[in-house]
Amino acid sequence: MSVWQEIHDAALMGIERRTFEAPAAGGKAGALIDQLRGAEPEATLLGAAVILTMQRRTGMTPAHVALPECVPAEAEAQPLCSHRSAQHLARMLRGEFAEVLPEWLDAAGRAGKCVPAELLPELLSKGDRRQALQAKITPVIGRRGRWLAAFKSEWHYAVQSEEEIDNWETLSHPARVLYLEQLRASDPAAARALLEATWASERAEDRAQLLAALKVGLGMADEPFLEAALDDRSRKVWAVAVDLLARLPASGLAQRMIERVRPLVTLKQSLLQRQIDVSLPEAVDEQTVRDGVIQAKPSGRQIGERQWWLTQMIQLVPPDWWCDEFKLSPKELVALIAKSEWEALLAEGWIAAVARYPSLEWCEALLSAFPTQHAFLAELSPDLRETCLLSVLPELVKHESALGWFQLIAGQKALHHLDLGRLVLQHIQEYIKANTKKARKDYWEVMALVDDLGMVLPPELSQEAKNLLISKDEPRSQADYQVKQLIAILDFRRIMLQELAK
Amino acid sequence: MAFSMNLTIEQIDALAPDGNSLKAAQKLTQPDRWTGLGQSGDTIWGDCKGSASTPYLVQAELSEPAFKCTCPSRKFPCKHALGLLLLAVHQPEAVPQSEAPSRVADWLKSRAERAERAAKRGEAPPDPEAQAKRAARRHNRVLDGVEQLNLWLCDLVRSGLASLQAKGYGTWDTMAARMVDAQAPGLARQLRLMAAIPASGEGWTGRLLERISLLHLLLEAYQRIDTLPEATQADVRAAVGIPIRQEDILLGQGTIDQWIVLGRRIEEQDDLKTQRTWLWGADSAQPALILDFAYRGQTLDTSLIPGTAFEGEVVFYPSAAPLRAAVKSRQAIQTYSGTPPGSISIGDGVAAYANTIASNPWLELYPLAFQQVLPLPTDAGWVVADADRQSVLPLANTFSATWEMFAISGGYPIGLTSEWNGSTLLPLGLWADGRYVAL
Repeated sequence: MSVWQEIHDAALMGIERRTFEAPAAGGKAGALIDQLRGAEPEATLLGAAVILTMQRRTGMTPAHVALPECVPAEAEAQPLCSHRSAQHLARMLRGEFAEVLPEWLDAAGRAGKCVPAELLPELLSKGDRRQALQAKITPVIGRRGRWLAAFKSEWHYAVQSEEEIDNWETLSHPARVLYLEQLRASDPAAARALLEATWASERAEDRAQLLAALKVGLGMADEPFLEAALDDRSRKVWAVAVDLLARLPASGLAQRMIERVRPLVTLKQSLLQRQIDVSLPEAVDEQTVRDGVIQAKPSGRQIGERQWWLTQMIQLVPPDWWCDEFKLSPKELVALIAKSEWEALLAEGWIAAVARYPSLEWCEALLSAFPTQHAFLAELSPDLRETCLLSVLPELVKHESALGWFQLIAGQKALHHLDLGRLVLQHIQEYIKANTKKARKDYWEVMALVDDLGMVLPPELSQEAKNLLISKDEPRSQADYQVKQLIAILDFRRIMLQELAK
Repeated sequence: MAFSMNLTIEQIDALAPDGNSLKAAQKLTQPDRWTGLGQSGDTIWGDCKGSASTPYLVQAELSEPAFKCTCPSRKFPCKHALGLLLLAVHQPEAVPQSEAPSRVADWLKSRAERAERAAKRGEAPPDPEAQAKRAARRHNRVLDGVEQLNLWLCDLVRSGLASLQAKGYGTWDTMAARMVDAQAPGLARQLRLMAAIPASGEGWTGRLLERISLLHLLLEAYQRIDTLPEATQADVRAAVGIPIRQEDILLGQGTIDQWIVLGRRIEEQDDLKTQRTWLWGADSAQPALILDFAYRGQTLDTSLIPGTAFEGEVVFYPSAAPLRAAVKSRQAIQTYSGTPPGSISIGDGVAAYANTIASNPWLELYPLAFQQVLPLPTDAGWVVADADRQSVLPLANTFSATWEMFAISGGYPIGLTSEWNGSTLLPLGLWADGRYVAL
């Protein structure tokens, strides 16, 4: 037993009942301990303890431990974002303007910049907690980030090796979908050929996603393959095939659907008025079901079975056919069905159809008449969507409740059209002014949407927003807080985008 | 003779704590509200009828100026005092010359005495006799406490450390309070640190025994303090918690050097914030510790920014291994971008620590700075290793920025500054690519 152990054990048990003698030790420590003999036993024990303690502490040498191999990171290939941009990112990671983070990551990725090393751990951990951000995070972590991510299992999503895509068959599934989409943009036929080659051996779930990639560069050349996919065992694949074929007005499916609908929906013209006449289909045959009409009514929906079939058929008919058939513009058609008993049925059908076959006239007409059913806007290209909103909004503001059109705008993705943004700002200002003296109903619901608009409006308008909405002369209104939030977010977005673009 | 008032309306205005007080005072300028008005020399007094049953007793002395009133208002000067002044200015004949009543005379006398005492403190050099008397009184009280604590420790050894796990913090707290009463806060602090050890996990008995033995050494040293060399006497007093006035230290001669600010750490306990700022003298190659304290709402001096350096004179507190210091004078701080300060190898750093504690066994923290070390994750926790991967030191597991440090290093050696407590390192900051990052 070592000298220290002796002393330690004695101290542990206590020396009341046992005597304590200074232990014999060698060297300098031993000589010092010897000098303690003759003192009180407690003092001897503590004296010996301190001598050994000091010996250990002053003689301490650093440990030699087997260290793990650690290959250092390679030099960064991408440029680092500026110090200011790094500060913006740090603020967002801490929680300030946290909703702007995805936009920042996108912009940084487009600019080809990467983030400084000290922010990598927090950013990588954020991607672990929010999967949706992972695709945005990986482009901006640089080589240092990919090196770091290998050390912690929660960060492994970011460890992608930049493998050369030489063999289509050996890629992971998500990578193949991406590859297919990219190839479709440049050579649709080659991409389709690639897919056809391995089609039979794919798993059902994978087939649906791969087929959906054909949406890019869709054309009539794809029709035979898609038509064949209508017979696929998997419901998901069939649904994708139906959706894609319905986007090709010359396809067999679209043509067949037109023939089914033609006798059912007719236009009656009399001297005084025009009206739409609808007769419901008696039954749906196998061909119709194959072409995309689900026989069973969805549970929970209050709709007659035959109406359910008809609305599905209408969803698969290209909208422009109606214009050609009835010789009416979209606007006239929409006006025609207003107040008719068939309004809801036809509207549902047309709105779904227009998502597949975007046309500005149809979009404007439908949005004006049914502003609450604006989900189809998300399918459109940003340009088309914003042009549509720009032309529809002035009328909408006059007829719809403020809550209605506020919800419409607040639900959009980020807008780019400055004129549209200006129009919205103007309407916000007018609304606030009209409600300063006395808040009308829905006021608080509307104001709660105002700071959501901070993520929607174009950030270039932050100064204009400030000028328009914050007036030093006017008395403080109840809207102050929300307006300040709106401007704060717009400002932050503008500054951070500017900084990344430098 | 009319009262020669130097105060003007404008000056009274300037004295008023706010506009309302002045407005209210103006309502009190009717003589019929006042009784017992009088003035003598620069002093003026009167009794003002207020909302209470007895009038308020108001007096003012105009050379400072100073005011006193028995009303409950917290404002200073209150509206009654202002009213009195206004009245004297507007209608001096209403305030006749007379002998000051006893309440006014007493007030003036106590003010004069206080002023005299304050003047004496400022002018006269510190009375060595009085200081020695105070020091002797304190020494006796501390000695009492030391003897008490020594007996208590011996009791502990007799009954055995194993008996401690059953007892709670109570035993330690009572003894710590007694040490505070004995004017030995350093001993109280030691007891508080030891109180946490029984609950600290495996090996606690060994750790506690080490601390008890060091404390015992300190107590024995204090009981024989006059027999020790002066430098060690200073260390013993510092460990016990006997303060030295910083003003006295700054009178001494310091070391002039380029001082690099290695890092800064703030700890908070019971409303008291302690700030440790570590410096490294570039030429003298020695460390210095600047201690700063703030109680409750007070602010700490944050002018020494980590990662910067300044030319200046730093005076060390007396010690066998001088570490604590005060900045006597300095020039403006500048960003430091030279070679990272510190030891070349971990072994060198640890050796410097060993030398220091050999001279001052009660030292708790020592700054370790390394020019090139690798932070690495191991199965046993994070360590820093020499660039040649031979020696390692463990990092404290309370350190939270390990991944950030590792990310910045990228697997390459970095300059590191830290606090070493004898078993673990707590990083303060690092240098990478010439850039300092506080951790």
